[in-house]
Amino acid sequence: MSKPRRTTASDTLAIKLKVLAREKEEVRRKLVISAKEKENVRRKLMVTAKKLRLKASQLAVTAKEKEHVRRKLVVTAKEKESIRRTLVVTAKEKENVRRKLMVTAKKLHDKAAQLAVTAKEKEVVRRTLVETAKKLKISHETLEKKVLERTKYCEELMAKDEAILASIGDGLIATDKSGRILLVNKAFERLLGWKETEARGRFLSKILPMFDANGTIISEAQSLVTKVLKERSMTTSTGTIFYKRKDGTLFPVAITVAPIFIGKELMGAVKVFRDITKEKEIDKARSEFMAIASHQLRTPLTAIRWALSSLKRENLPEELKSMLHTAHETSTQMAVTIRRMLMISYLEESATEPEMTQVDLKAVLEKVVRLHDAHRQRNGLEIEVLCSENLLPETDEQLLIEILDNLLSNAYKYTPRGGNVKLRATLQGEMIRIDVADTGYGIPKEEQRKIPKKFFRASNIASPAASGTGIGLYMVYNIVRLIGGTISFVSVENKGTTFTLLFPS
Amino acid sequence: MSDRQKHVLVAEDEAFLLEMIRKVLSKHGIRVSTATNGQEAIDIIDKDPPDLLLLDLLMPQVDGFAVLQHRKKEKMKFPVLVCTNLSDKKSIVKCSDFDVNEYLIKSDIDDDQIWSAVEKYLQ
Repeated sequence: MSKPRRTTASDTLAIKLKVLAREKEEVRRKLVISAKEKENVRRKLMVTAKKLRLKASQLAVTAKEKEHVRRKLVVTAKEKESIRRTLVVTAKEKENVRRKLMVTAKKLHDKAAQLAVTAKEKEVVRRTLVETAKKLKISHETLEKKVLERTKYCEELMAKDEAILASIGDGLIATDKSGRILLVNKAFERLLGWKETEARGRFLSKILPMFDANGTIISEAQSLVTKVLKERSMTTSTGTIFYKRKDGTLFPVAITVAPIFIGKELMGAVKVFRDITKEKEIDKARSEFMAIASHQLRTPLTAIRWALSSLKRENLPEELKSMLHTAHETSTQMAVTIRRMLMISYLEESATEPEMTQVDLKAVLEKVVRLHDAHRQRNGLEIEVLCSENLLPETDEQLLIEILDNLLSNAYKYTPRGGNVKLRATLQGEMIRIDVADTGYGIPKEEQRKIPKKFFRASNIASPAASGTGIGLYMVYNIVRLIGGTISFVSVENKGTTFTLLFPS
Repeated sequence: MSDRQKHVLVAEDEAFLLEMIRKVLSKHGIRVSTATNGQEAIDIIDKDPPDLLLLDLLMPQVDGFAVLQHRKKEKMKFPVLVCTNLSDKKSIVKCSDFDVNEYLIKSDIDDDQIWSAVEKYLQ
């Protein structure tokens, strides 16, 4: 700044410095004023501070007081809180009590209501009871009336039942399971001479034993009541059984015994018996008549037959011989018819029983063959008899002969000349088997089912010599049943027929 | 047949039939005695016991059953062939009690069939 060459610049600078110095003075003046002002402000501030300090102390006192008051207030608040709490607790307790009281009150109310209802119900019940009692009284009276009516009805019914029981013509006995008599009817008393009071409670087998046709007592084990109680099914007497009256006389009876069940339990048996003296008398009269009638028919027939048979052996002209032959055949046929008539009558008798004896089967076969030997020779047939040794069945000989007689006579009758007949007897298990086999005409298949009809004769029988009534086989089937046997046949037309008889040995 | 001539007693009340039987048996070399009722038969049996008896049942006065009774009582063993026209059960059963060998129905056989029945019991 002080360089001579630039005189202008130094002049500007000196102006500038003079400005600056003025400005500095200005500032210094201003700063003096400011200091004065500052002092003023400081004095004022001092006063203010004093005032403020006073004020502060005043405020401190006030604060203390305020604090005191506040504390006091806090304590009061606490007390108040405590009180409030206590009050709250009390209030709660009070509420509880109130609630409890409410509940109790409600219960009491309910109880009261219930009591009211109960009282009402009691009243209703009382009224109903009164009503019911009235009705019961009526019902009781009605019931009493009905019981009386019913009793009367039952008595009438019983009287009716008793009257029916009493009116039954057949004797009736009811027994318990042990065979003790529970009840008998009037017919029992009338037929036997025993009073009901004498019979009731006693054993049936003691008071009323059964006898067979020979007067032999039938053991209790074989009695029908024992059988029924054991087998639990109804049974009817076969053959003739006799009862003994109180006075000791015997009379024939037909008996049916049935078990008595209540539900499924067997309670006893009821026996119904009928006096068959009349039937027996009728049977007897019939068989006597048949015996006499047949004898009266047979006696002259025998004379005719024997005379013709004897004449046939004489040396007579052919024409006469032929006539005699026919006459003889006819008389033979008549004899057969009489025999069969008798047999049918016998079979149709009530309670027909076979007479069982030990039969020598071989002898029987030989006898039957011998009886028909003339017939066989006449028809030009061969016979073969095969019989196992010692066949001695227990059977009815007459009935067996009748069966074999029919079968053999049929075989001879329906077999053409030159044929043969086989008679075979064998033991088959417990049964006797007899086959009668021929080489004859046979029975047409479509007609086989007609056997054993009464009067059946096969349609293919054209031979005039083969006369027959068709009653033979019907009879055979009935007799076979009587001796407890069975019969069957196999037949092929124009080949022959085999009849097979099976019966107990 | 043995050499000795066999003796057969025939009891039959029908004269014609009796004669027929007698003829048939005689033809076969039999010595034949005849009776027309039971009593006659019993008398012959006692005096001259036969080898065989051919017996009718229905005869006057004394019947065939009386003869069978007598044979049983006397314990006689000769065979008996009943030859009758009775065929009721009662008669047949009664005969079986008397140990009768055969029961023949007269009308059911021919006269010569009597011989075949008799012959069997004489051997």
